[in-house]
Amino acid sequence: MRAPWLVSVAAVSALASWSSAQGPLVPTEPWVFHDPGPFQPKSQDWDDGQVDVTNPTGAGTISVHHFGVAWYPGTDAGDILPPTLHPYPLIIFAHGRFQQAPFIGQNHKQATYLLQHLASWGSVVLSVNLDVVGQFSTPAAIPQRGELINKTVEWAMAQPQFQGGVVDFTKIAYIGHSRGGEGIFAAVTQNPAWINSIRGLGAIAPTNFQNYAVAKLAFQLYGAQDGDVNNGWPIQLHDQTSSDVPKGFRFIEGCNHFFFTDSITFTGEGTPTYTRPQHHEIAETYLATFASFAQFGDRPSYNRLTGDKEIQWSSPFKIHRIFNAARKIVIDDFQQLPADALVNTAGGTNDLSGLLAPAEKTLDASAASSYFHKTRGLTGSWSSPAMYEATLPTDLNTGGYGYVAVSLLQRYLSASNPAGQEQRFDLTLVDADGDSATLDNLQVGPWPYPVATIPSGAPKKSVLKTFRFPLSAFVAQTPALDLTKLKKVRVSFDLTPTGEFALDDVVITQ
Amino acid sequence: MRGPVSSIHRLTRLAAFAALAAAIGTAGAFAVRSARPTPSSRSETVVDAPSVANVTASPIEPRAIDGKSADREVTIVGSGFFGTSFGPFVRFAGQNAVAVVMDAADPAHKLVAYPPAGLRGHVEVVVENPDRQSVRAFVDL
Repeated sequence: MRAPWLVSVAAVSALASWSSAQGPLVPTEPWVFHDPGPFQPKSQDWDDGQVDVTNPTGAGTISVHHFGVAWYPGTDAGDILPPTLHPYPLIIFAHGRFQQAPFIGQNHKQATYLLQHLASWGSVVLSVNLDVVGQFSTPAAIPQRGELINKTVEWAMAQPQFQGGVVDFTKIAYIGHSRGGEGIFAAVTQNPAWINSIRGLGAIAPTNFQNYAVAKLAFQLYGAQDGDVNNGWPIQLHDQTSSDVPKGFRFIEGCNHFFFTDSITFTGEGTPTYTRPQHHEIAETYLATFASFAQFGDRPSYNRLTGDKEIQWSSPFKIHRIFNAARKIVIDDFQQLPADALVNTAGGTNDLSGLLAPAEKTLDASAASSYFHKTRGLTGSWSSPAMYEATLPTDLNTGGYGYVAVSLLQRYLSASNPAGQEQRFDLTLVDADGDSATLDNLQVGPWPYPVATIPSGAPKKSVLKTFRFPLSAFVAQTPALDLTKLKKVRVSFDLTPTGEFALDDVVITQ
Repeated sequence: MRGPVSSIHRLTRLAAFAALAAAIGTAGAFAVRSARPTPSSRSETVVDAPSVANVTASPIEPRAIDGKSADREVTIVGSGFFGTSFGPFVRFAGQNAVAVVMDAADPAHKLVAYPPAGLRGHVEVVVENPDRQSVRAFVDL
């Protein structure tokens, strides 16, 4: 069933836009979920009484108060508006931990801006209080958060006002922040009876105490100026999530941790570059987009999650994407063992001419102090023109696929990467007849230097950025290029004199 | 890196504690303000450092908590304790507590922490808030 707003999505015209933060092949357009939806959001507190969850520090269970607030499309009187086109999908929201007065017991009301936005677009949104396990510093009580999130669905399923076609319990999305962001992953690992109805996980700066690795659509936001979860855990949680499902990530230059709440300020993380309303604008837009794609699978939302269409923001935010599509042909993900930089995942060979010290490594602190990933990639540097060129073992028919993608990062504090400057590369496709076409990365987006953090002593992070080049743009440049017989994919480092990088996930993709 | 405090950070702090304790010549509890860098562009409200008034330990039946063993329960009474995604952290003789639980009714003033099993003697206890401000005390385990 289509979401009612898809009509308005289609109606949004490609209005003239101001300068894009990405490249000319990534059109910047107004986006429907940037603005409040057509429904009037209303709220009521809900209370499920006492429930048992497992004891974080011992055997057995502990009894906690299970309660929260519900936001939904409402009538002027505050009742839930009877749906007309289809039942409302369900979103459970799990807040983060700020265990300090006067917020204790109220943290489930610290994302009201977001809950209202999601309800305005036609979802029933239940925010569950997790302060009831917030006293646990260590262990962090993440599994218990998952239990409470799942119990919130159970409670909702038992409510008469949600029956009779009001709520669609086959379309559930979990969204969370910080410890709550990890809690939604915990909830999935607990395999509730409605596991197949959980369409996706949307997280803001989640923790990663438990190292969950799930196979669910997942989308994350993470501020480069996060001064709380500043240890790169969201990056790792993204990498841990299965590559067999769509997963997206946005690394946002001017955002911190607690400005994603209504009003919490953690003095320990300082003041970020972007204002709190700008944090809210980013979270509202992306998470409504995520929820729409998770629940309805609509392509316009997918195109914003992939980043193939850039959202027209109120300001030119610097937002960098990682995106993994479910459907793809992997040319090289650098995961195969034993590590051999001269052999690619597709079974062909790699030409690394000109690269200095090329090696396949896990992109974590063992490779460089600014690396926080949990994936393997190719590391190297150049001081003269150099390349990574993958030759496929057989000619590849790319029919049915729209993009070739690569992910790259700059190493922080490398003498080869001028401080604060973008790097450059170009990408070439060569067919079996030797016809080729080349596109510069600036066609799809800048390759940023690792951004400044606040406080300034917080760790700088070299984070992969995914560059997705439309295959059609290569054919437009060289009409003779036959992409039913793709032979080589080449990443050339010849546009800047020196550089040090890591490369990952060379794919032909949806 | 936030989360489990790095060994380098811990050693630096312990060295600072030792020097400060020697200078003051006290075994009591005192607050230490972190030397964390503060950008000039930052307008920050100063949050009071945590303080400790009383620390008591009692034996418990040995039990596993999150895969680690504990045989003592330490109650820390003071003020200014708070947590974000992390913290407050408690360390005994430089070792991270097996578990730290803030009092549900009065979290700013009372913590229960579990030292690693087998730790004995007159040991240093450090409570550190997520903003890196910390306080030191001692307890007999």
